[in-house]
Amino acid sequence: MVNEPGTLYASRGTAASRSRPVTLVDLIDRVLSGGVVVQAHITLALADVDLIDLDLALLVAGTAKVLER
Amino acid sequence: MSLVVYGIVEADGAAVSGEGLDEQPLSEVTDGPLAAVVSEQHGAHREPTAAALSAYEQTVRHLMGHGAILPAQFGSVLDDEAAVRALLRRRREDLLARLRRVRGAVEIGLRARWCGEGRTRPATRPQSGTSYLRDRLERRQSARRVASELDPLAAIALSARRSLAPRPDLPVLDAYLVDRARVDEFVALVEQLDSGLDDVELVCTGPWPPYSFAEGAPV
Repeated sequence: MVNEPGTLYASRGTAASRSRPVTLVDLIDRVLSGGVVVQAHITLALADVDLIDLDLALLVAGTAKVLER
Repeated sequence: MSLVVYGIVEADGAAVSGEGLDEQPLSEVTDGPLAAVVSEQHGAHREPTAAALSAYEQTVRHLMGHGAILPAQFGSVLDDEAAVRALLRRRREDLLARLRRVRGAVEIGLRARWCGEGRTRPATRPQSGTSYLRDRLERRQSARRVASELDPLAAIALSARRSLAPRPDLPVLDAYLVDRARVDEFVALVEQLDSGLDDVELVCTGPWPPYSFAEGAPV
């Protein structure tokens, strides 16, 4: 397996320089808006959803999951 | 039952191993020189939750350890093997060219974010339509200046994709396709360029499978 993606470099003082994990937005940016487009009607109506809103929705969903435990 | 597509690889006869979403075993659907790595999907479409995106990314990364791969967009589901073969046949030349391009390379993401005084700039409410347009123009011009400072990175990369000022706080959002052997050199150059940039912070992430180089402008 290829190394897990992480922060390779961050200017001193940025949030990213203090925490190693890659933000969700980096992942979303690639997995949802990149990649080979196999069919036109991809991932429900995702194409119409602003990725920032989606990021928030995922964060909320993630928080809800944590609270459930 | 339908098939979740994880990515396109060169068909080499070797059996694919591992699991995809919902712990479904991975398999290959081959057409000529190309193969798509798939798993069966029973039931409802997977929602793009953080956990699902992360599991998907992990599967693609596992596959990337075995050779060049063009990741598919999350949510790529086709009805059956015939539909997968039709896709591989229809786009054969394009997909083969892209696979050759990404072989031995990884994607590195680079974000430049305004910091210091620049950070407050987008938050100020424009006084009029004219000042709004003027602000926007200024922001674009300063984004262009930052972008030009980052230009030397393209010389190390095999290919680059750039979004100029995609958000008010981000003057530049880049993706670079970098030969695995040159990643350290690339990161060292980012660090060096950063020391010459006072009003932005740089964040560089990776190594990613080549998501940003699987579609778009022809290779």
